[in-house]
Amino acid sequence: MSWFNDYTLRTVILGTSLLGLFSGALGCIAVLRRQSLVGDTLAHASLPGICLAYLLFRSREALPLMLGAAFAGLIAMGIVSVTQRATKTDPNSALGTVLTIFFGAGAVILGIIQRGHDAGQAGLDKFLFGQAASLVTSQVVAIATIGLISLFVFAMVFKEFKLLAFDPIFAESVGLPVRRTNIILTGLLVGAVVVGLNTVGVILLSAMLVAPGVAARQWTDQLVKMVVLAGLFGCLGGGLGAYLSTVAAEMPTGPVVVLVLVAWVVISLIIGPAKGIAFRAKRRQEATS
Amino acid sequence: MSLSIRDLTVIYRDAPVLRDIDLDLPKGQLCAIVGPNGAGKSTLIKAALGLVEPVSGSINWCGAPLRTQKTKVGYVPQRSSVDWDFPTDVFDVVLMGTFSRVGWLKSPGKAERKRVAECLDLVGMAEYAKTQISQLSGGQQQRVFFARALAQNAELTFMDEPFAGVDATTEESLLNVLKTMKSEGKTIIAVHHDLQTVRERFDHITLLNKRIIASGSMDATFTESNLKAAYGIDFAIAGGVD
Repeated sequence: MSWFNDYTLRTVILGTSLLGLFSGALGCIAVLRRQSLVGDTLAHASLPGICLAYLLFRSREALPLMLGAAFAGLIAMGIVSVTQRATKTDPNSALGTVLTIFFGAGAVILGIIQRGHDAGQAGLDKFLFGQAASLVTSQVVAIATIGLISLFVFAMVFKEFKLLAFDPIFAESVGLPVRRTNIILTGLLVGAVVVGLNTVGVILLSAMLVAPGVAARQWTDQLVKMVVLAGLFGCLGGGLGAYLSTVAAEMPTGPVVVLVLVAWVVISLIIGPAKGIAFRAKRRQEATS
Repeated sequence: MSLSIRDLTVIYRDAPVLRDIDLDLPKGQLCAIVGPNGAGKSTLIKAALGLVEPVSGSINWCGAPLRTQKTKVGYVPQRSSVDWDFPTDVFDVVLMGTFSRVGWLKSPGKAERKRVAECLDLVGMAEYAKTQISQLSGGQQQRVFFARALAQNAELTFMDEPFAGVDATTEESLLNVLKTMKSEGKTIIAVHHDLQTVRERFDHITLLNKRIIASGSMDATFTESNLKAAYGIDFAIAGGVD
């Protein structure tokens, strides 16, 4: 176990596992509300936020960049919400439009920064695909702090989330503060996105949010268990992906983590006891024989 | 008269769906809302529940705006409005009926759980409490929605096509639930599509076709001329009322 003594590797694996844990659990919000594009939009929209935060503070410290990302994500969701209400656009079209506009703007600003021959900007482009190898302890602490706060808030609003995800019309009819709850749930997704930026990168982050939840759904029919399993799958997938990308392949972390998680989704779809294909086939067989 | 709707107009995409609705419905009765497709029946109860925003009008319950009394209102939506593949069980769905009384961010306690068990018993679903909702038949799904509305313990319950697509046994037992609710002084307002059965099941009828055609007690209002005005075609009422 020599790799465990390696400080850098330990930081990287710890950080990515924590990230997988938080984004997997919180990602169930997006999965169950059929809002995977929301995660995608938040992630892509964070790029201009990161770049502007860098220009403003001239620093690659984790906190200002994360705040910039969160701020941009919230503005993007605000624009989506206003667009939808003002023009009665279909939610996915509104999300897709905002996603591309923000990501395009982010790519332009990133290009301008990179042409500036500013030594400090080196590595800003790592936010595209993520580079877990560059994780430092302060970032891991930031991931753990934001993640724990988000999970705590998620536990507080769990009852409201469940009702809103299962039956939003009923939720509104009984006077549940739908708007307030929606804002909190979106805020939690923003939290999950922000912690994942360094590691997985903006482009593939939504897979990190969605894949663990989709895999977990194949293994259980209970909401609480699904969230716990998604956290576990995210944690293991994140750690393994980071290890493979850093040690074995020297590749960007995002794609490797996502490939690991997607492989697990495929396996779960086949053998998952709750909804997996093999299990359903077996049940059908039992029913007919 | 306890539900009082005045001057209600609802517009969808520039086309009026409900126009100048003035309607009074009595307390403690089973009230049906009938009318042809597109008459605005569902929209009427959605407006009452605050789910669609009217361009004008007021909706009062016992003299105060209904929207300020949401804990007194129950709702049985159409079964197709939710995802029955959602990872949860029968008990948890019925428990959702207690959430508005429990309050934001608070957890249901022992009293709520006991109430849920009683409601499941009333609709004949006690043994299915731990059953995954994806395993339910259409009739069982509707029983679960009735149990959830019972758990709300509301004075006034709106139902959107409560008997649509359920088997005869379920229909019979759901009717008994409605009678029990009525005997407890509850008011039921249901969108109903079946003219053959509306007369024996409800006390009060409102014929709707974007505006109110007629509204009143079943015997006085369920007439061939009113039906013709609502549906635009001739109806022969079995048993001959006219």
